[in-house]
Amino acid sequence: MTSIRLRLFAILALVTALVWGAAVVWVEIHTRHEVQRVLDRRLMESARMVSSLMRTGEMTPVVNPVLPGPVPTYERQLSCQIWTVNGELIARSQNAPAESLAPDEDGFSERVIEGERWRVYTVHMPDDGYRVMVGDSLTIREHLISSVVTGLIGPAVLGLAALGVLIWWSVGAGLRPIRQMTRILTERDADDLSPIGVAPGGSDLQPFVQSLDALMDRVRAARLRETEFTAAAAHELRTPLAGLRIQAQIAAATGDEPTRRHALEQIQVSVDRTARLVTGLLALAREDVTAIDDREKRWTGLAAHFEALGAEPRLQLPDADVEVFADPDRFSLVAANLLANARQFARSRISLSVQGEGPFAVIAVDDDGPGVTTADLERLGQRFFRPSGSPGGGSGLGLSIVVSAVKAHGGAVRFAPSAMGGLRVELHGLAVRRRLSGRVSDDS
Amino acid sequence: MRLLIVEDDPVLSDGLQVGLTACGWTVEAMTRLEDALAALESSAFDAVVLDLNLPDGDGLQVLRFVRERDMDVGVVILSARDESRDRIGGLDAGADDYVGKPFDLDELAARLRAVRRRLLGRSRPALTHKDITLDPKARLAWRGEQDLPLSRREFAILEALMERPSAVQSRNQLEERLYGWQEEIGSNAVEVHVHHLRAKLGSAFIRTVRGVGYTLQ
Repeated sequence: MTSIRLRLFAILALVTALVWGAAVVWVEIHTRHEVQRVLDRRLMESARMVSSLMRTGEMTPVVNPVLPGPVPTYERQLSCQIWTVNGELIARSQNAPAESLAPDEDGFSERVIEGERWRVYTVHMPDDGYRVMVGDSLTIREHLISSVVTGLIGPAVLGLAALGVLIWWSVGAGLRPIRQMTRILTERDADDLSPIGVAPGGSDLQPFVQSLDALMDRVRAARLRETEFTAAAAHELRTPLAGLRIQAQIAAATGDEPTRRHALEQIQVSVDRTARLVTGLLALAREDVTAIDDREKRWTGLAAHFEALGAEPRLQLPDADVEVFADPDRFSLVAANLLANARQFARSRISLSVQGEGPFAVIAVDDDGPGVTTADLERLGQRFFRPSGSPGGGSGLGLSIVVSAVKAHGGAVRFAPSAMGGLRVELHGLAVRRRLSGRVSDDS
Repeated sequence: MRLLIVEDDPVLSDGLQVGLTACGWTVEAMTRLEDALAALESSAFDAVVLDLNLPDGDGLQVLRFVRERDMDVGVVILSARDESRDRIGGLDAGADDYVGKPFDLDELAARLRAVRRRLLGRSRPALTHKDITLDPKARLAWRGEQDLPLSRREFAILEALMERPSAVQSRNQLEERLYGWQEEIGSNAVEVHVHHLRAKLGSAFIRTVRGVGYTLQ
């Protein structure tokens, strides 16, 4: 938090200082140039004025005239010298040095006299034989320029300091929503997965809050599913464990041999059933995770999956040789559970059939068993659900494994009464094709 | 005593039948809610061992059925739902006890006996009438300090009569307590057992109420 603030402050302060510094440099250069120009102009004007006065004869230079009375003093910024072309100084202003201010040339020049730099403008009057020089001291000029520049820089430095404070405060104020957000998040309980809802301080953080809420939603749902699953699994395991315990207790306590044998047989039945339940739970826990990537799917023979499950004389396979686009391992799990389910209920016939082709094909498993009531059809495929009247051996997980595996393939499972009298399980949304090379069909 | 087991898991149900029969109970077992209700409606039971997770509904319906009709039946819930709130819910719905799965068979039997005692309004585990004492747990009887050997059926009849010495028990009631539905019984089975009991206890101990049944008073 503070680091963002510091960072922003440093960036803003640096940029401001740079812009400000550049401005100061520019103002300094510009001012210097302007002042030089104005002062040069003044020199030139003054020199021309003196020379024009002399030319019209309104003024005759007298060397060292006795001035009548006290001359009102003014700030001595300009000095004036009038020389003859022969190099004779015939007049100079009060503060002017006796030495010539400039070399014998027209226009501007600079010269050091008695340690002082002078800037001088010289007007040559060849007709009258005079040379008028007006100059000023560069020290004064520098003084003037530096006072102007100081007048500009002083407030600028103060302004920069004030800006620094303002920037620090503004950055803090601007980051307040983030700080609030941090507080909201840090003050929350680690287990609190309730949505944050509205972001503090406006819409910028809203997308962030939304995706955070969505994430927490998913985590909450996953956690809930996990808890439910674990609870259901524990619940389902307790009953067979209770059966095992009680039968073991009977076997240990009874003196009657047939009773003991019966109890031990029951223990075997229960152990087998519990093992099936555990296998189912593990399969379901794996199934639960994610959708299957297309790269893991292959074209795999449909009938082969069922044939691999061992001889089943009641099973009728489809006439055509059909392949399904699926993850072979997980599809074999689907086949195993479908067949196990049908085997448990079928009287004399189990039929595996395929209608259509491509992505809209339907793979169906029918049996001629007792079937399932309409009310139970809806609950079929839910975990641990065993329709009333089903034999005790089932775990109630087989069809839910089928459902979640088919879902992971992007398909869906539908349960319906079968034309054969029992249950029909339809797999929708799995891509199916006839095998191209094909086996030789019987009638050709 | 006559017990109804309502449990859909075949292995557990079998174990309960075998185990509780060995404890001297006459046991009937049902796997479905509907059958359990029908059984309770058609004949009298002393206690019900009830699983809550039945294939065709919630076992609590059996409990409600029994309590709404004020049946004189002890109900022990047997459930894998074993959290506090499940126990509280079950007990508050009118169950006499709640046992979480898995459980100890002897403990369940003891709880059933305790439920039965409470139902009959006594706190001593042993049954006493005159100089005869019965221990329902050990299934032993004494006259004074002396052991009194009784057959299983004889013990059951004596227990039924001594539980409520002043009540008159019909032949039919006693028959139901003695025999499960699957068992073949002779038409005069109860008379035969009462006859044997009188031979052991003295003819005055059990009184015949003509046309109604038997009592101890």
